[in-house]
Formats: sequence, C-alpha cells, structure tokens
Amino acid sequence: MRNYLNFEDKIKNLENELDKLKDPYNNEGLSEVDTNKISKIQSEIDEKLKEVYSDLNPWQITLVARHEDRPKSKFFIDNLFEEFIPLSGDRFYGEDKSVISGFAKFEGNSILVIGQEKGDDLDSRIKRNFGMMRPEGYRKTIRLMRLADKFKIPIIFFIDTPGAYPGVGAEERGQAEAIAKTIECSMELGVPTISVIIGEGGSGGAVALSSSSKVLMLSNAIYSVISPEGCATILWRDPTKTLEAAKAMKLSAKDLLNLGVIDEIITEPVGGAHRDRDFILKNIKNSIFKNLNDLKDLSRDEIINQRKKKFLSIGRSGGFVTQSTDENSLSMKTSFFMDIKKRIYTFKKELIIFGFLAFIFVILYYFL
Amino acid sequence: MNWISKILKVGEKIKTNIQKKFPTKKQQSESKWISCCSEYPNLKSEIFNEEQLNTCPRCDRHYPFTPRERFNHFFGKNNYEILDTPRPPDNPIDWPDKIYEKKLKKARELTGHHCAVMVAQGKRDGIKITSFAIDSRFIGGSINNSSGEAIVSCFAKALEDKTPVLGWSEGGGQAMYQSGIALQFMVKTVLAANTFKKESGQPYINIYTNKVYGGITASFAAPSLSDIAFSEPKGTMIGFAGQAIVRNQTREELNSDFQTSSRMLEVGFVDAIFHRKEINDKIMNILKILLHKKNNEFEATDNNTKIREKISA
Repeated sequence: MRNYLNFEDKIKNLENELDKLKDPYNNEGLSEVDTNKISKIQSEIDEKLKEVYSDLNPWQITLVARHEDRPKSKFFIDNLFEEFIPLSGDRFYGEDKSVISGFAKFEGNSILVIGQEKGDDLDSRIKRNFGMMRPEGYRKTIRLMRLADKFKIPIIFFIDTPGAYPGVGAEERGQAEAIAKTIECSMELGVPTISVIIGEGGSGGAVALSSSSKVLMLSNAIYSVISPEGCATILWRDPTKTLEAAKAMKLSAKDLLNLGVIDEIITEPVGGAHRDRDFILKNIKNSIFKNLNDLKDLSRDEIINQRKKKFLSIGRSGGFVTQSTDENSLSMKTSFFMDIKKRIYTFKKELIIFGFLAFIFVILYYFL
Repeated sequence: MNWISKILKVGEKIKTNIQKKFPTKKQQSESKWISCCSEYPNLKSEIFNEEQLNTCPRCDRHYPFTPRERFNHFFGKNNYEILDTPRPPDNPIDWPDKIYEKKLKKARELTGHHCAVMVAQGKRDGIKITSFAIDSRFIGGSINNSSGEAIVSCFAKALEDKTPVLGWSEGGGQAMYQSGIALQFMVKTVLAANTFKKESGQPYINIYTNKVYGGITASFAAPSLSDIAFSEPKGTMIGFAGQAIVRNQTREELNSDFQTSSRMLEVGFVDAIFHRKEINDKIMNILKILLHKKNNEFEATDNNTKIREKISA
C-alpha cells in the first residue's frame, strides 16, 4: 500500500490502473498481460510525475519532506555502511531511541554515524518519539563525538526531526543546555563532520547536529526555525495559511543554498526520494565520499578553522558590512560607507562650523 | 421574598459582567495602577522608582529593566560607553510585504536602538567589564542577524581588551522573520562565547532576567556555557519550549512553579538567585574572587599589619 499526497491524485489513479494490469489473476479474469498498455501507462505516469514535481511550491516540498514512505535514517545507515555497531546511552540518565548512533565502515574507512530516526510505522514511531530528541539523545551524541575525536574518526549526521521534544521532563533535564553543549562540542571537533538533512530540519533540534564542516541537503528537504503551521499560527492566527508561511521562510534547499546556509544540494529522483531508493542511495554515497575526500588531507587546526570561518561568514554579506579578511577573527570589518558615516558623526561640530564659515565667505565675496 | 432577592442577585451579576470590560494595553500603560500581588491594585509609583528598581516591595516580583536602566544601575549613571555594533541587512531572506522592516522601524522608534542587544563597556570597582543586555521590548527580544552580530562583537571586544563578559539575558529566541539565517546565529554566538572563554582566560557571567526562552537559552545563555549563571527571583522564567507548547504536547496540567527561576535552582541549572538590589555586589564579589583582585578593606588591613610590624620592630 503506497501513500499519496493530495496533489498526486492523477498519479494515484494511473498507478492503481497499472497495478491492476500487472496482476493477471484479478477478479475480471484476464489471462493475458497487456504489455503495450502497461508501457503506455508507465510513460504517462513518468510524464505526470515530471510535470508535478518540476514545479513544487514550498508547502508541497514540506509535505514531500514529511512523506511517510520517505527513506529514513535507518534505511541509509543499513544500506550505506558496513559493519554497523549501534552504541547507546548517555551514561547520565538514559537512552534516547529517537537517535541512532554507532561506528561503522564507509568504503572501507572507519566512521561514526549519528542519525535522527522518525520510524516507519505507528509502533516504531511511538518508540522513536517521532524523531524528537530528548536531552539524553544530545548527551549521547556528545559522548560519541568526543570518542570519535579521540580516535580521529570522521562523523556523519543524518537530520530528520520536527524539533527537540518539548516535554516537562525534557525541559527540567536541560533540553536547552544539551543543545548548546552539542553545538559547542561539534565546533571543537578536529575531525571532518558532514551533516545530511534528509527530511525535516526543524529548529534547535536540527541546528545542534548540523553545525558541521559541510551541510548537505536533499532537494526536497526543508530546514527552518519553526514549522510552517507554527509560523502561520503566530503571524495570522490561522494554521491553514501554510503556503504563505512556507514561501516567506525560504525553507527549501535552493533558497538556503543561495543564502549560504547550506553547502550542497543532493538531487532526488523525479517524484521524491521514496520513488527510487537506489537512485538516492547512489547520490548520497557519491556526495559524502566526495566531501570526505576533500576534507581528508586537512590537519586538525585547519578543520576547526574552516568550520569556524564558514559559520562566522553566514549572514555577513551585504548591508553596511564587508567580509572580514582575517580568517578567524570574531569581529566584522566595517565597510567604506560605514567609515565615512562614522567620521561625519564624530566631526559633526567641526563640519558645521566649517560649512558656516564657508557660507559667510561666499556671501561676503558676493557683496564686497 | 426569597425569589425577589434571587432576581436581584441575578440582575447584579449581569450588571457586573457587562461592566467588567478588560482594559486595553494602552489603557493599562497609561493607568496609574497595576495589579501585582495583593487583591487590590498597587500604585505604579511604588514599584517603578529608582529605589525599588522595578521590583514589587511586597512580593519581590521583578518587572523588566531596559538595557540603559540596567547599565545605569550597574556602572553608575552614564559611567559607561555604548559600543557600536555591526549592521547587516535588515531583511536577508526577503520576507514579503516589508512586514519585518515595518516591525523593526517601530521597535527602533520605541527603544532608540538599532537592534535588541546593547553592548556597553565600563568600570566598576576598578575592573573593566564588557556587558551586553537584551531589550525585550524590541520584538520580544528575538535574536536576528544584527542582534546576533552584536553579541558576537561583544565577545570579540572583550577578547581584544581582556575583560570579563557580563550578560543580562532575556527574550524569546530566534527571529522567525529570518528563519534560516537566524538559526545559524545559534551556532555563531556559541562559537563566539566558546572562543572567548578559551582564549581570554576571563570569566563569562550570565544573569537570567525576565523571560528567557528558545534559541537564547539553547545558545549563548545556556546554563553550562557561562562560567557563572545567576538569576533574578520571582518574574524570571527559564526554559526552551514555551509553556503553551509544553501543555499542548503533554496534555497535562503544569505545576505552578514549572520553568520559574526557583524551580531551575532546584533542578540545578542556576548557581544562585539574587534580588535586583543586591545582585550587582554579588557579581562584583565573584569577579574579584575569580580575578584575584583585592578588596580595599583587605589593603587597609594589610597596611595595619605593616604598621604593627613597624611598631614592633
């Protein structure tokens, strides 16, 4: 049983028809499989998919990103890596099942994988807490990140979460503290880190694991400060205005690449990642391999500095500022215009007196 | 006569219900009265004066303090310098209809400052201190790119001058109108605080005031990121998700002390809670201890011992 989104009605009808044709023993008693008709319908489906998916609006992208059949972290961990050994527990309080973590081999090299998992059916979703991490989960990732740093093992994150879990217990065990600590820890790591946003990247829950050397994003994934529903509720008191909210928040991969928030887009097959799992696996594998290779030869300090520089430069272009030339300085360099403005402000009195004197001279010259 | 009194009672109820109109925000701000702890309204002048420092004399509830009031109170009136902060573009993600620009303009007119964060440098008891304070009147104190850059520049300036950092945190989190960009400022501010702590060898003291939520508690104002975390008493709330969200998520009645500063002290995320009248002295005490600075009194006793030694010699 496949699941369809509400803008996929035509595709649903065609695919149902196709399934009927492919099954020769259905109730109508057909004994022959009509191959011509099958190929015709198949090409029709492909065309429709291309038509629908070539021009998705941000809200439709959000729906695709949350699609039930979309491959989750567990699928990628099972298929991309060999010899995966799951490790659990934060050694303080408990184990958070919404994040899968462990060491594995990727193309023959050691690697640490950390993936937020939403779950595939209702039972596993409840077990995984719908991908919403608790403080234990963040503390577990901190523990494993330090371990990987000690043994010089690169880290790969898969991000797919609606946000951090907002429960009473989670709050009182220090949700905010755990997130801040995770960001702090991942900025200190001397090993290459790569984050792949595979579905929803929601708010602080996602940013904690995506402060990496490279942030990659699937073409139909989203990354924003609040869900479109939440944004619409706050702004217009109307949770149905999700399209406007999604458009305004610039949450799609293309917009975020333009803003410089992410580094690379991984293309998905036509019709979303769930329609061709082999295709997306191949693309993600190539992309991770390429990025790991780029970062492989850098020294410890170079990796830390590269990450620092990357994040400090976000949001600094345009306006009255220019990029700081010093790679690791926290401060921004003010631009030429800003300097002039500042000077005008500081020498305001002198300028006014000078202008006044010049004015008097001109008048005196004119009359005498 | 029982039924007549009943009808009269019902009539009175209807009358009071009609008359019981809730005052608008403007009326509330213009009124001389405020409802705080007791059954009857309190006079505003009893709470909002220089002696009481916006705290209620009866129940110790702390009302918001603006950054300028805060610096005036800490460094002494105009005994500090407000530092210039960077000014990145106002609307980096092109939010439609200029909604955000209008909001910013309004907030700037109200507060007279470019962004929600104000950075100041001054001296108290001979120690030079760089301090930032957040103004929650500025769109709820949300962190946008210029506020985030201001915090980064505060840490940069403190690192350059080798001074301690004193943060007065409040506010609601990251600015929704700058979605992806604002989110990255969580990383940037954590990075700045961390670099400062590592490279300067100076303390970073953070004080929770008013309401601190979301990306602010989860980044530069996190309890474990600052070296010392103090809080103001009643009226201060510290948390990640707001109470309405937690209530919707868990579908339970929350305890009355959930996310209050006293509860956070019990849970272990705050070092101590001090009243606004004494917090400045406590901050200076801990700074002097951390920086090995000697008190004037100590010097006096030193002199005394020297004199005594001389006499005995």
